[in-house]
Amino acid sequence: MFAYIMRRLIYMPFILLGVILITFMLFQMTSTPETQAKSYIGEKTSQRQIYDWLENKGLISWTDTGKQKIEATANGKLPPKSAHFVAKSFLENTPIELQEFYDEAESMQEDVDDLLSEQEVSADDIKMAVAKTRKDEGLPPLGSAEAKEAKQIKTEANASIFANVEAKIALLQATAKDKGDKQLIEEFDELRGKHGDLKNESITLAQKWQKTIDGARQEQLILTLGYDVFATAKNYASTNAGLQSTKKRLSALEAIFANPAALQVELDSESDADKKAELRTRLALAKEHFIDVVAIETTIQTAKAENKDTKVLEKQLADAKKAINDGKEELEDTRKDLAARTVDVAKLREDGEIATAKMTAAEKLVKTEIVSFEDIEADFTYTNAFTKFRIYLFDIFNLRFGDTLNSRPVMSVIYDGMWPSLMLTLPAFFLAELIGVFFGLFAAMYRQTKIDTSIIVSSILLMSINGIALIMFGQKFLAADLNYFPVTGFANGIGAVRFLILPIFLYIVITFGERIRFNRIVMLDETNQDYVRTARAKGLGENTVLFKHIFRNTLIPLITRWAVAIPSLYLGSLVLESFFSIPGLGYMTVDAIQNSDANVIRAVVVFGSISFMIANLVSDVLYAVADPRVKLS
Amino acid sequence: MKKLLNLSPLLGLVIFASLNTGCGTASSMAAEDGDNVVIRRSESGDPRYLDPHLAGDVVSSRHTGMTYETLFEYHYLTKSPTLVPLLASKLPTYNEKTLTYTFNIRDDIQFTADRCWHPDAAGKNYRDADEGDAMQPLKSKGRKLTSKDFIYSLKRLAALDSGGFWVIAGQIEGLDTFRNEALSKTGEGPVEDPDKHWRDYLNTASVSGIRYIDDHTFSVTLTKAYPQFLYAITLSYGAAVAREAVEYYGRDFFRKPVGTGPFVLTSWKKNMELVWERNPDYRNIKFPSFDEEIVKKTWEGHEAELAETKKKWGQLSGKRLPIADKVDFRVIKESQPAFLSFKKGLLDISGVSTDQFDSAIAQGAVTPELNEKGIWLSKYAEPTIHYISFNMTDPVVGAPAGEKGKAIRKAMSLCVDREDFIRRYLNERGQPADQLVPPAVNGRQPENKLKTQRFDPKAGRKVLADAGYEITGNGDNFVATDPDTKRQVSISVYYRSTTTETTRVANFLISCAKRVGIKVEVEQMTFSEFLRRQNDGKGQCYDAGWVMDYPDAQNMLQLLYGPNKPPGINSASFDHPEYNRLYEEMSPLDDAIPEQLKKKNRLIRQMHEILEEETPWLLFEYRMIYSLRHSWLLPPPVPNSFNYVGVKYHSSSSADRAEMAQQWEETNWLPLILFSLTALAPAGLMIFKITKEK
Repeated sequence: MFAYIMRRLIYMPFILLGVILITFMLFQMTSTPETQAKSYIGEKTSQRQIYDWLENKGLISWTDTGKQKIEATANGKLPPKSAHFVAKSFLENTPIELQEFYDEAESMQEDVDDLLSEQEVSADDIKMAVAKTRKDEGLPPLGSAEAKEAKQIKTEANASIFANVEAKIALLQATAKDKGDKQLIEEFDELRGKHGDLKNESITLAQKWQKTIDGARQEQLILTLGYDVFATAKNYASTNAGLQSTKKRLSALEAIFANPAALQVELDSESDADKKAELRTRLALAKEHFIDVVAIETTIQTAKAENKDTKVLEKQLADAKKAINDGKEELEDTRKDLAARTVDVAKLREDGEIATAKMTAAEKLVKTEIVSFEDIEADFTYTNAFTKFRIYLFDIFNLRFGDTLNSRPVMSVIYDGMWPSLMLTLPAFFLAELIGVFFGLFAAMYRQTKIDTSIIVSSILLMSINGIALIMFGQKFLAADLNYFPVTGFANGIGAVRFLILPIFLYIVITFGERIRFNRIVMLDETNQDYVRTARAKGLGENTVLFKHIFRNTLIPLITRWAVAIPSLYLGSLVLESFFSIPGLGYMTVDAIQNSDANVIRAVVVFGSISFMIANLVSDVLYAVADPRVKLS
Repeated sequence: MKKLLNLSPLLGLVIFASLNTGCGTASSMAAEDGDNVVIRRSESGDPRYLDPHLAGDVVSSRHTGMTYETLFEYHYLTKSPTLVPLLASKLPTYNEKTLTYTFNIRDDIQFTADRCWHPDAAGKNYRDADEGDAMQPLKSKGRKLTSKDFIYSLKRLAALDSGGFWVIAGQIEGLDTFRNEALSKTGEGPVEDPDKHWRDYLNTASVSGIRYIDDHTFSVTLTKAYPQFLYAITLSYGAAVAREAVEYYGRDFFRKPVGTGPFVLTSWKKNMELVWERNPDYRNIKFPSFDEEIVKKTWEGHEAELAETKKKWGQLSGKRLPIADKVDFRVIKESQPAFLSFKKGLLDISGVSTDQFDSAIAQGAVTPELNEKGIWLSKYAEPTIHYISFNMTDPVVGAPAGEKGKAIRKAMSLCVDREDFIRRYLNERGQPADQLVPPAVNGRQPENKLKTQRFDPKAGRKVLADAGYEITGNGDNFVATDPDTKRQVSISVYYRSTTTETTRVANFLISCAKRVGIKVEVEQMTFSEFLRRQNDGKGQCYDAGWVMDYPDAQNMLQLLYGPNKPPGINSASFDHPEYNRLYEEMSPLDDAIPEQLKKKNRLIRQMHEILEEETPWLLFEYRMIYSLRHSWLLPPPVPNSFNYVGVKYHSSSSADRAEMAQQWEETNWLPLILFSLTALAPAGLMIFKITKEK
């Protein structure tokens, strides 16, 4: 037996390795290294943090361009948020993928040509249809010098492929329509649909490609131009914007004091055109903002002279004075602000203007130099799949499962949720099994009697009722109406017991029917065996036959059942946990699946397979204990 | 052994009997509560964030409102939503010319006691710390709140990659530039402290539009008139947080709240319970009075209702806040246990889910059973709208499809029987939506009623036929065929949930669309996946909804403003130059100024004319909220969906709870005895047979 156990223990790591390999493959298929990095270091992380993490993990290695870029971003010379890193595999694979789409479109073109000849569509019609579509798509007519030149450019050539096929399919459809052949129309519809999908996918990929390449070009441009120039230009631009905004505010504040009447006089007497324009602007502002205290005061005097109520006017005057005072204070501050900003701008202007000029010139230069995608250099390469798997494996063996989407460590979530789940499912399972075995024996004892029939009927009845319905009924009737149990809730420690009794009871009831059916059949099956007849013939009592012989032999199928069920107990029971607010793993797992929380799912799968293997081994040992005929060798 | 076996039924009974003693009954809870005022509520899940600058969902907002406060709050007793100072000492002064608000802060505000005020406290690894009862073992008194905290908080809201920044985006001078610069520094620090540059920038850089004047005064200069600004900063995004706490807890700050509010979080057991207790350092403020001018003014014309309300809530006037000593939130995911717990008096308040509707409501009122228990129903219109947005960039339903796309959008809007939907799926809790502005919000006018948002499938079919689609069929089953492709017109709709309830709602839309011959393909997905696809802007149609953040029509109309296209909130990617222009003209207008309100209404009408023509949405309904309350709870006299900080005013009575609940806890033992006897009968029979044989 010892040798057997040892052998099984030696197999275990390999099985586990297989499971981990499967999860690894699923992980690679459903996520990128970048998204995996985010699941460890948080969703809101910068590109640099992601690639730092991937580099530390050994999942990428930098090229010289990449290193140069990192240095530039670290020194603040390259705008970090817009800096994005381009993978070698992306640069290499995307053109191939795009080409595959174009090849497929070309092959479709051949098929369509065959169909056209089958349908006996004339060459002139085809030409006309293609010419029309090309015109609609904004492509030059076929055969023209312009078209020949345009064909040199890859994208135009590819657009042509799609346009030609599209035109031909439309023509085919029109022909089929004329013939009134419904089946053909449907076939061409399908063809059109396929072609549309192909085109859309290629466009999406090409757009993504273009976006990345544009970003990479921009970065290469910045790198080529020199970082200081860029930083100065940027600084100048932002400081200048601040200055303009302060100026604008200052004008608005000054307008509070600028009397429009006086300005109008000044404007009328001014002859210089530039000054006139400036005065006009000031006048417009003054008309909008000017607060005329004198006018209000005069109105008050007049009103007083006429013995009228001046309360409202006086309040107006007070408000106006207050606004003027506030304006004065703010004007002072703004002037100081303006002075400081003007100095800054003056300092930066010269550098900035030179920088902007340099940048424009260099941009032109670089633009002419970068003419094709191939000029873009990769920043990093991904490590090969084997290294990735090694790292993945190492993380799992060190129980590093990362964080959940809610930024909690997966291990702590599993640990916290596991105990409430086990508190529910362990006693529920063992009690249910105990009762199941008892009723199995009971049914065997009273086989072919009314008691046996009533057991069968009740078990079928319970199996027919939906588990959720039983839970809802049990909760309402036993907890809410009869007050035997708390309706819902959970507590830590021993206090949890009172909250768990009803869910445990309901678990037993829900699984009762299926268990009894199984156990009864297993027991009855044994009852009909020869050894049972022999035992009875020997004159052994029914109790001895039942408990000593039959029961022992039924243990093998029972142990097999347990081996399957026990490992998943730690996952709890989703519905019961949900209805009774038990903070277990069942709900968390479903939640994780719904939210695509890959780290939690991975941990659950790995722990599930470990516990399953252990349970399997234990069940093998138990076979040998239960049945001396079983030899573990 | 035999004796023992014979005793087993009795033993079983004893065990069962012991279960009912002290097992979380309402009266045992009341005994536990003693003289304390305890409010018991439930949540369907844990809050995602207890960080006010990240809290975007209702549950998170409710819980951040327990401990974080904003400058203003909605008055608790006014008939219509009215802002009054909370952390501010008075309403701000506003200089129209310079677009500057000057805020004055009370000088008696203190942050809650917490370990973060002792930076040298032992044990830095709070991430794995026990979150149970021993959550804050090293706490010490918090410091006073100053205007610097508000300046820091506004800057933090901008610098964080928070979904809540939109409420002030582009509105405060210099803040957007600050945000862009700060975001560019995220994670760009040294490897050992990647956020160092970001943090340093947040702490040191100034924003030209936010000025510190003194410890209790600061000003904010806007870039343009934004009359909704005070509403915007009354959302949790405008709450004050302490820099010390943010830096001390780091990435765990979202679950370690340190605010200035009436409650402190004493226990948070994930998926189980959140317990908030009275903040002992909370300033001395009192429950407001109905005699305040501001209250009286809003109740004008409703004097009889006011007198009734006064009778019930008037007794609380002058009481020190918070009234409750403890607020216990139980996490209950399913609607049945939540409702049953409520019925037993274990919860003070309950919503009415569709599943429980018939057991709770009969003919628009509570059932006689609940009525007997003193439970009462509160009904109010929630400022929400449920709609389907058509992606206007889509080649089939959007603008690229021209008149044909428009016809599909209009036909879809005409085929839905909204009243039937409300009757079938919402138990009459709703009102058909016919314009963007929900009831009781300024800007809603009968003239805005959209003719396309009515039930008239015949007109829908005509619209399609006029656009060139071929219509065949009869009754409620038609087929609209595109003559170009010879295929039935088909659209796909994304739904944000995979529940069966959503499937039923989706099936309803499918059956409605058949009336105009359109085939609807439904794709149900998880909420996170839905958001991802919506932000990508790649779907064709989305099942969507919007809960207004503040009582201003601008909040609703922005959902179709061009610059808010995905990943913004305009999921329809509607970008109509004239609509955009009208929106820009309308949004700075202030509802409080009659001339401006008049102009605003005119502009809203013009905007609706465009919506009538373009139909970027299919409107479903405005929701109505039904909420059940026990007689011992005094919730808000006028429900206000915008108010997330109102729990401090809620009152409850443990004595009343105990007295009432005791009547509902009577136990009938007969069924248990009968069941025990039946269950134990097989054991008896077996023992009998074995004994007999022996």
